[in-house]
Amino acid sequence: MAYTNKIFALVDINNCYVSCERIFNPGLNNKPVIVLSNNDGCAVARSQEAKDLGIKMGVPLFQIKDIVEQHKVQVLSSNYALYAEMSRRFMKVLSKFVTPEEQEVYSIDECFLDLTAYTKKYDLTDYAQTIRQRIFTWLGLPVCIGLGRTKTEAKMANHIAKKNTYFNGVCNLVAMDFCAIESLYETIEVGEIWGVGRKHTKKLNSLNIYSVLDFVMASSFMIRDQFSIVMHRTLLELHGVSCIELEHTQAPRKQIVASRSFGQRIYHIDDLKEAMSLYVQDAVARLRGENMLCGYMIGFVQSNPFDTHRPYYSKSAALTLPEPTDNVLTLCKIAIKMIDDLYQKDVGFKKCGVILTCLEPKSSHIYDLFTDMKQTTADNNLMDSLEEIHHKFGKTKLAMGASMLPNRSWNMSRDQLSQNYFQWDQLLCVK
Amino acid sequence: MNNKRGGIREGAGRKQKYNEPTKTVRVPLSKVVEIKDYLNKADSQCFNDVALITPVQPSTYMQIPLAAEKIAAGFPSPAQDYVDKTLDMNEHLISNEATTFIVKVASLSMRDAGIEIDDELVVDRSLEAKHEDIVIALIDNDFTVKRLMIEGDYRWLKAENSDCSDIHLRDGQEMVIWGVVTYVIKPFRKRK
Repeated sequence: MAYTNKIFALVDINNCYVSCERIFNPGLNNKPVIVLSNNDGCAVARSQEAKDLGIKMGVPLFQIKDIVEQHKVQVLSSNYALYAEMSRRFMKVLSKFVTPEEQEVYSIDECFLDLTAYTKKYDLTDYAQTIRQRIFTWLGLPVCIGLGRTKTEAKMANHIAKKNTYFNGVCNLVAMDFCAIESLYETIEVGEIWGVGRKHTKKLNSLNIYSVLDFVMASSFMIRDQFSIVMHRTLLELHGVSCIELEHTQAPRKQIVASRSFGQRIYHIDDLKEAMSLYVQDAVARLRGENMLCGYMIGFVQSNPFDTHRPYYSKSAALTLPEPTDNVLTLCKIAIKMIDDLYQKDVGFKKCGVILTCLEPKSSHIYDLFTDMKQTTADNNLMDSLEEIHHKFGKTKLAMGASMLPNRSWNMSRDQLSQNYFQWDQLLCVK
Repeated sequence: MNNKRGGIREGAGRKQKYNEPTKTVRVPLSKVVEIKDYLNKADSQCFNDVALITPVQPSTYMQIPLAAEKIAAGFPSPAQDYVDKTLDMNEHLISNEATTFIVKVASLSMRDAGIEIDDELVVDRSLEAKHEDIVIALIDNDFTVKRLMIEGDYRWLKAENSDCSDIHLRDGQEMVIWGVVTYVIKPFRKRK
């Protein structure tokens, strides 16, 4: 591994979902706000004010009802269409600072930049402040930026910038005094390191490694001995040896999962079939979007695992397809047949879903001798027409069964949904 | 039998000046220059007022001319060398796509500037607001569209309607410029 001096930045949107909502609804500024997961179940994003009230990540809404009422916490359903569009714009504005090779879109609200080439020309702390200011004035999104010699270090720097307001949103570990870094690392738990999960944290704790500093000081032989090579790499990264490069091409997808929990418990088999057919359609849309064929399908159903009064019910079925396909009719038919096997009377179903796997690119698939090519072509044409109709008239005009009709009993509940400000009929209004 | 000799030669003779049949007339000598002048001018502005109608492609996608023709055996289209970009409203109205937002107007306070209820405004957040720009501003966390007035250090918001009052900040009040209005989209036919 060649040792090269590199400098990475991690740009991360503060409280991403809440910040996106605040751009269009400034009434939420300076107030505690939480955004809920699908079906308005748990808090998945919290404003700083909400965090200060002690609302934890992922806590179910019913557990914090009292705090919400007492402190008038603003509660919103997640508006993923809005967050995805703001995320795209965030990445686009960042892309103007670097070349495409120097940018890695890491998640909806995080982006790695390779700033090595800019070291000579700029003071990188100032440069990062410029980036931060621009994202805020151009998009209204508050961000923190961490700078480090490796991606792991940049991630750590970002964490420090977030937790300590005196950094003014930018923490540059490259330019920082070693003693200062040491005292910062001493106060951060080892579990906060990028790539160190809960299981590893437990094991590290048992080895008397509690803080990031403990980990950095640990013997690399011991780490390699006790853990995997991945953990050893993490240690090297924190020592400033860049082992993890920016990633640009996404690894080809291995599977597609479409599943959502229902707004309420479902007892009737027809409702279950309707929901299942919707998820199959969602999955196939993604499958065809990536020009893949699916060779193996798994369907599953579940009751509510948190229900203490009834036994938990969970069952799945799987089928190898005789011929890999992307035909929604075939897959829907099979999925609905699966429900006949999976259904059980008097069970209150909470969730169902479908997993498409054994994926392969459509372009390189070789059909066998006995394939009815006439039928395959006809199926393809049908799918193309269906997509054309969806493109022209919206997804809900033509669908399988009753799955796209509004107000089905199994639909997700999203009572506190904000508008999608990027649709003509839902624009932001100004007086 | 086809006789290839004699007859009309294609393209021969004097070039046609007008796109219609002509006629010989007698005119006074003193007026010849004037009349010739008139005819020459008329020739160059045969369409008078609406001489400049350019086809607009009302597409929401950026238009990029592609040489994606089918390969066919036969006479190639003589127009293929003249394929040029058609007018693209996105390109015309939006200079920074990532920072442009469309908002809808819900008041008459800017009526005299031509902004009415339900008009759509193209707002660019990447522009720095200058004196007399029409802006979307936040006052006490409420959105408003007004004309920004900058007089030295003093900034206030002007309404373009005598029935509406201007906004001068009170003590402790803060004004945040949310974005600068660059265009108004105003429908001139009633929408259904």
